[in-house]
This record gives sequence, structure tokens and C-alpha cells, in this order.
Amino acid sequence: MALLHLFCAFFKVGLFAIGGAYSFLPLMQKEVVESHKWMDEDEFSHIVGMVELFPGAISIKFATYTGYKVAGVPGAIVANVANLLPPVLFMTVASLLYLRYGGVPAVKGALAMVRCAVIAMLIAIAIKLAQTHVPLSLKAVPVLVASFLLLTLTKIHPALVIIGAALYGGLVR
Amino acid sequence: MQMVTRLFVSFALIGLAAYGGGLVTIPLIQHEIVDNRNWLNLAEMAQIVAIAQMTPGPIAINAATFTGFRLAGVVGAAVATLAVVLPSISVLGLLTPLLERAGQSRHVQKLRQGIQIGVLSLILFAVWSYGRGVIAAWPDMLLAGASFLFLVLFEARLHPIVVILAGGVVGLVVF
Repeated sequence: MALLHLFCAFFKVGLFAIGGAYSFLPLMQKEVVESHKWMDEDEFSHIVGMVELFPGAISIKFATYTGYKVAGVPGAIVANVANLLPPVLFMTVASLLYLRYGGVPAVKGALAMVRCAVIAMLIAIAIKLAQTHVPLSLKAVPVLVASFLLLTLTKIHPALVIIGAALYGGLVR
Repeated sequence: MQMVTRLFVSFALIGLAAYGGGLVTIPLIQHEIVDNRNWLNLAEMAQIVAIAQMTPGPIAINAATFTGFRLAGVVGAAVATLAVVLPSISVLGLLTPLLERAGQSRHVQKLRQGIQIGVLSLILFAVWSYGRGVIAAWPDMLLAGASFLFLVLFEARLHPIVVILAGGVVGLVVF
């Protein structure tokens, strides 16, 4: 029964998580904390903070953590599968449609505008992150500038930039 | 068969390095799929990101499904998608018990702040690289600016998908 609940909850989150982290966290909180009471508010925010130390989409990490907590390894598997099904199904259909109708002028135009909206979203996320999470102290600015220059001017692997910044934060600061 | 193996390796690398999640993974995907492997060009990659924003789910998963499907059909899509989520699940499973104990230590807190700085620089880089591929003329800039204002002004009340769909409708009408 727990597995069925996990499946339904994470399928719902997977289905409605459109538009990235903006829309995702409230959805997840509603399912995991309010509806199913798998964890309380404190544990939820603790997990949100902790999983930043791990790679990957936050929905995968939440599915893994909650699934394992509720029903062990089978729980983690069921929650992840449920969470992945909607994106994979939608994206497969979208790929088919795109490969067939991507050349139609109206579709091209619509996608061009969506790309512009995505840029706006990226800038908005950057500002939000700078405001709420990163303590933009004087010490952080040089790292930020150096990382940005490294990324734009060289062919460095983006992961190395993250590792470098993490080491700077953990060891030097 | 070889293609499937290469898909697995590439997307496992993306999954392993995908700190910050969401749109932050754009530079990673670009680095691996466009620059290293030449599987897609920058314009196609921008299309995937646009499509991914209209479908549910994290962008890395959407990109894996699309690229896998495009290069090796349904099997490719399945393998690439699995590859991109596996590192996250394994690392979380292996390291959570350790971090539960060390989670509140000052070093871990500092490490997290460092990661956040790196993530911020990656987003700014995504704006730069993705923006260069997308904004070709003034109207594009105008639309990006308008979307941005909407996002900032109505942040709490307006679901981001509304901005995405509105962009799509404007594109349908204008072009």
C-alpha cells in the first residue's frame, strides 16, 4: 500500500513539475509533508539544504530519499520510476512531433519565442539565487568573476568550476 | 550498439556533474553533447531546451530522452535517461548516511556555500552562451526583456509555464 501511495504522489509531482524549480518545491512539499506526512516541515527544509551537496535534479533526490525512508530500496525505485514516467512519455511524444513538424514556420516561430522566454527565466533564477542563497560577500565576487571568465574564455569542463568553487568555499574561506 | 554505450557514458557524466539542477545543467549538456560529441549543433540544443521547458520534468532528463531518441530510437532514449539519473541516485544512497552525521559541521556548510557560488556562475554562463545562440535581433531581445519583467513582477502569482506559453503564442502570431 505504501508503494502505491509513493507511486501516485511522485507521478503527480513528475506530471505537474513544469517550469523547473520555481514550481517544483511547493508541489513536492504539498505531497510529501501535507498530504502524506512522510516528513515534517523541518526535515523537508533540512533535506532541501542537504541535497545541494549531491549532483542531479532535486526531484530525483527527493524521490530517492523519500522512497527509501518510506519503503526501503523498493520504495526508492518505485518513487523514481513514477517521477520519471511523465517527463519521459511527454518528451518522447514531443521529440516525435518536433522531428516531424519542427520545420513548419508557425512551430519554428513559437519555439523561437519560447527560447527568448527561457533566457528571461535564466536571468530571473540567477537573481533569485544571488538574493536568497549565495551570501554575496566581497570574498565571493572574485570567485564568481573568475568562474564566469573561465567558462566563457576557455573550454574548461563546467563541473571543474563547481568543484573549484566548492573547494574554495570549504577550505579557503 | 556502440552508439548506445557512448550515450550511456555521456549522460552518466552529465548526471554526475549536474550540480544545482534545472537550467544550470544547460552548460553541462552543451559541453558534452554539442562541443565534445557533436551530436547536435547549438541551434538544435536551444530547441531542446525550449521543448523541455514546455514538458514536465528536469531539463537534463528531457535532454537525455530527446538526444537518445534522436540518435538511437526508443532504446537510446531509455538508456540515456537511465544514465542521467543513476549517478544522482547512487551518490545520494552512498553518501547520505555519512552526511547525516557531518551535515551540521562548519566545513560542510562552507562547502555548500562554495557550490552555490559555482552554480551561480554556471547560470550566468548559461545566459551568455544560450543567449548568443538565441538572440539574433532586436525583437528577440525585446521579448526576452518583456518575459523577464513579467517573471519578476508577478513572481509569486504567475506560474512560469504561463510565460513560456505566452512566448509561444506571440511567436505563432508574429511569424
